[in-house]
Amino acid sequence: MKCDKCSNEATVHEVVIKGGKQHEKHLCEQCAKGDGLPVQTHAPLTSLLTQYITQQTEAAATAATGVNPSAVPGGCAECGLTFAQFRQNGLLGCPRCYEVFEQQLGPLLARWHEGGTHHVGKSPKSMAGAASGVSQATRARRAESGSATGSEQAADARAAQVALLRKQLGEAVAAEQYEKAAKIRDELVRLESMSPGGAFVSPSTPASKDKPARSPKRKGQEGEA
Amino acid sequence: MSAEPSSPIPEPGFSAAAVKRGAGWLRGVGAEADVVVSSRIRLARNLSGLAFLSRATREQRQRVLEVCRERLLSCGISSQMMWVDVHDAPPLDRLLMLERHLISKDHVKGRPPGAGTVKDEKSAESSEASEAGESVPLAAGGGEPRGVAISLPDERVSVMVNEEDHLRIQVLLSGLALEEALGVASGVDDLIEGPCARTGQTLAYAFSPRFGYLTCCPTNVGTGIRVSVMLHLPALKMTGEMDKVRRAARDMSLAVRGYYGEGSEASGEFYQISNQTTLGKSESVILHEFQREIIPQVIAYERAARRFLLDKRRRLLEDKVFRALGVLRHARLLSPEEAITLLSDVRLGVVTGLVRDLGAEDVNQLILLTQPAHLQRVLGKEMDQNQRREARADLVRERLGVQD
Repeated sequence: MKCDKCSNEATVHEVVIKGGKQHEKHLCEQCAKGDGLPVQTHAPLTSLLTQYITQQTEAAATAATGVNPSAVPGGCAECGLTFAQFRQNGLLGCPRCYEVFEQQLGPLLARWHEGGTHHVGKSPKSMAGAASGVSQATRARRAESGSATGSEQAADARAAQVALLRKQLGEAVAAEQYEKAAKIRDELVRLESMSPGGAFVSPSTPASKDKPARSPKRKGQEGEA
Repeated sequence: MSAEPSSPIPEPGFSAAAVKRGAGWLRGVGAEADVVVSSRIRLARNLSGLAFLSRATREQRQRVLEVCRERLLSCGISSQMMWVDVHDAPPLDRLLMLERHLISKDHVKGRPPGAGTVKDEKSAESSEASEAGESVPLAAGGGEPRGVAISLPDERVSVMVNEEDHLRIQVLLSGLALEEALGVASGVDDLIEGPCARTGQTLAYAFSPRFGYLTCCPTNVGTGIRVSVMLHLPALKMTGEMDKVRRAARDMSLAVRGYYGEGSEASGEFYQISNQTTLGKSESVILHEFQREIIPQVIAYERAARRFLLDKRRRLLEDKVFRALGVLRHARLLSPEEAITLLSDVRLGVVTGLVRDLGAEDVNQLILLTQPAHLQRVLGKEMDQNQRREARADLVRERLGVQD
């Protein structure tokens, strides 16, 4: 695409919605600067990811625990990966990392997966019937802290119901029963908002909605994280 | 333990005849083949109780390689499986497998995931890639221990070992055939998991009830599935509507990539569209959203653009197509990028009925055969870049039936 003002390739795209009307601008870097639009220098994907992870997880974990995770020393007992290292390249070190960093990963996963926070779909034959809303880590923690309290039992029941609803939601979508699916989704949002610890994130907030209307973007930044 | 391959079929597994015959996914057959070149399903899997490759030692990688190789060759995926120790394979063979889309660019290079700033270098490479295919740098040494198992003779199934995850199961079919591809991929997944018909052993995958199949990069966690199609969208490019497709795809959380997938630019107006979301939706939901809702729209959009060009801009379309055919029939030197661009224009002529003496398959196969590694294997000799440009032009003229 060519720049609106000159013949250079347009790399800055701005969409402004004013009075219900959409105005698009497509400019090259020089013209965008001239127009006073913020022009990001070409940040590599890894640094974008790092930046993003830092913001997201620290905000979420601070809200949940009152402690900034980057200030917590130590990492995965299995492979030694720290969350700071994960933030460097976006890769985890071993299967155990998912349990260790469960809380920090939750909000990130929701952003990456259109609100998805829990697995739906195929499971290994050896795990048949094991799928439920409660992770093994959560179970282990409860086991360690002695018998489950009344509120934990309620949480377990809720988690089971969430798992059931998720399954029904998947089936409704597959059968194209969208009204039914919407009802199930609303029920899921209600249940999950009751969950303690902020481990669940509402799935009904697509990433695009909380973007500002004015969002200059450079080409070539999409792609896989 | 020895690193020697225990494979029943020695390398190189690609006979000259197989190379000339081309890849099955380029046959130009199947549903919607005028727009959809191929369909691909990829499943990411890791072995339970072992570090991911981002933190695995060389010994652990070697162990993963041996366990998986033994498994892949014995679990009955296909009556004939070929195994290639990619780290030991000659550079030309690695490139050949990349050109046939059997392994990824990263697998060719053999850097462990997360080593250095892989993503940055990747984008730098693709911008330099004025000559697609020739720009893929090959590790001087063989790189980290890694391999690939390929089903023969159809090459529908390939399983990469030690790419970003321990196992990457891939099924690649011609035309729009995602459901069939998912069926095959899921079957292969079950066979690898076991129990093995011979020994009764099973292979335990890293899996958690909450997160699903655990992957090195959390953007793949859950189903571990990537659903993608390669589309030929030359008319949308001509009418200037490709940017709309890109924006629409982004709004639907889909990725649009080039001919070689991740980190590659579009060449010859071939685009790969794939899902990004892997957690919270089942495989069949992901596939149905993709196959029923998204892809038909893009196909209809491209066909409408083709009709518009035929009805309203016929002279322009004819000029583009026959000019390309003229250059291909008479050029004496061709770079790979020029070849794929011109062949893409000719393919547009074939699918719109302007060019009648060629089929889509002929053009598809020429796109493959004119790539650097294939060209050298077809002619049976190693050539430098300049020699390849001559040989490429000669091969194209010969295949297009020009006698001069």
